[in-house]
Amino acid sequence: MFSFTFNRAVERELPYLRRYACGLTRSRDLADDLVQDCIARALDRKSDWRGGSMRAWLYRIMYTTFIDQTRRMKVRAAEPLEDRHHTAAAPFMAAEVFDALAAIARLPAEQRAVLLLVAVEGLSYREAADVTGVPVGTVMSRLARARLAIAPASPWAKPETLAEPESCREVRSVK
Amino acid sequence: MTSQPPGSGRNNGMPPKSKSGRTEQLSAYHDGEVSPERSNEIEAWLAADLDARETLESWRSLDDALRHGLDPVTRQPVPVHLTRRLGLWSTVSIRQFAAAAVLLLVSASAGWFARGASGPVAFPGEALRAHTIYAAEKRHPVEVRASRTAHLERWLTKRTGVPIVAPSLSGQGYRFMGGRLLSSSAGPAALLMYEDAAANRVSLIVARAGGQVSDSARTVKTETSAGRFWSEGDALYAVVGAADNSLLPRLEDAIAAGKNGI
Repeated sequence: MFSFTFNRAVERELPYLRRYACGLTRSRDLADDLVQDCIARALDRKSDWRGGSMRAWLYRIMYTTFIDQTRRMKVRAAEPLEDRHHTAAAPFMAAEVFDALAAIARLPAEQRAVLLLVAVEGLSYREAADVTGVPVGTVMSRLARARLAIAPASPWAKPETLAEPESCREVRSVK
Repeated sequence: MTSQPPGSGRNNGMPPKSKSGRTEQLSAYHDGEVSPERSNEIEAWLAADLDARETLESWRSLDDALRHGLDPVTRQPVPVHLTRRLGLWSTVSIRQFAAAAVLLLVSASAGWFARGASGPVAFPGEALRAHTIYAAEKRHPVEVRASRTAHLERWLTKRTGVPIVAPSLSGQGYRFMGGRLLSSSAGPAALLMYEDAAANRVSLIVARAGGQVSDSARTVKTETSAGRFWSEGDALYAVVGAADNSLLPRLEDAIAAGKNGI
């Protein structure tokens, strides 16, 4: 594929990459930094692209980049987002939107990433599993844990006895 | 368990015993990821479980709020520094151009459009000239004012053969003034003029390409005016302003984004 056509195809997906990045980082500036890193990686790995959905391919790169960065920071992703970029994000949001984004910012990065892919980016579980490189069952359980942690209002859903295997430790750090 | 596909029936129609199991099922149901049979079973226990219904409702509100908050991002122009990384912009920025005070002869811009002679090749020069002439007009910068936008758009669409919709540039501080029909070597062209609070004017000029276009955007500049030129589909676009107007790339972004409906 000519590089020009490839670059055009990437450019067409930038609005969606920015939406995903804004949800992940809750800050325009951090989001655009993430998009920029994602573009750089995509250009580096141009030869890996085998056709198919450019958007899914780019989501995968963005997911990996984001998770790498979160791990490297060695802090819960919520902290810098909560404190330093609080105001940067505020002007473009209604209160319930702000609350929703604040709530997902407290989730472990993997849960936030998959929740956004399904709820906002409109991916199926299968597609979300491909993007995040985990089995469909893990997508299911991450979504369930994310939703329990965010909307625990109902006694039915109280997460006190989450009997999930090891990856469940993510949840405990939230509550 | 976690490797099971979604919607595989568990517990023979009964709600799963563990809370995490029930939550997973309900969450998959919420996302439309369960089989029709499983969906019926879940609806059966939902009917008898107010807490579960409230939980589901809270998830819906959460999804709505997230979409509501994030969707507008897709309609905003992508920052220039991101698209530039993809090399789709001319490598020389407008600011560098201004600093070097380069007088780029319009004739040197051949190569933007594929073939020589008349038609599209002359378009950049004509667009710059038209803006210079009409933007200087005190009393009659436009032929049809913005108060008659609908009429103007219909008229220019009909004459140019390109769908003309005046984009809003208010986000960039520009107010729509109105427009006029131009004569160009590419045929009838539309000029839409905008003005900011400091009375700086810019023009969006559109003409039918007639199939002779290349796909890359570029900057063309004279001593007095500068323009960003690009093509899309069967149309040529130019956004032209004063030579020192550093907002042109952002205006191009806003116009192109609006045009694509994203």
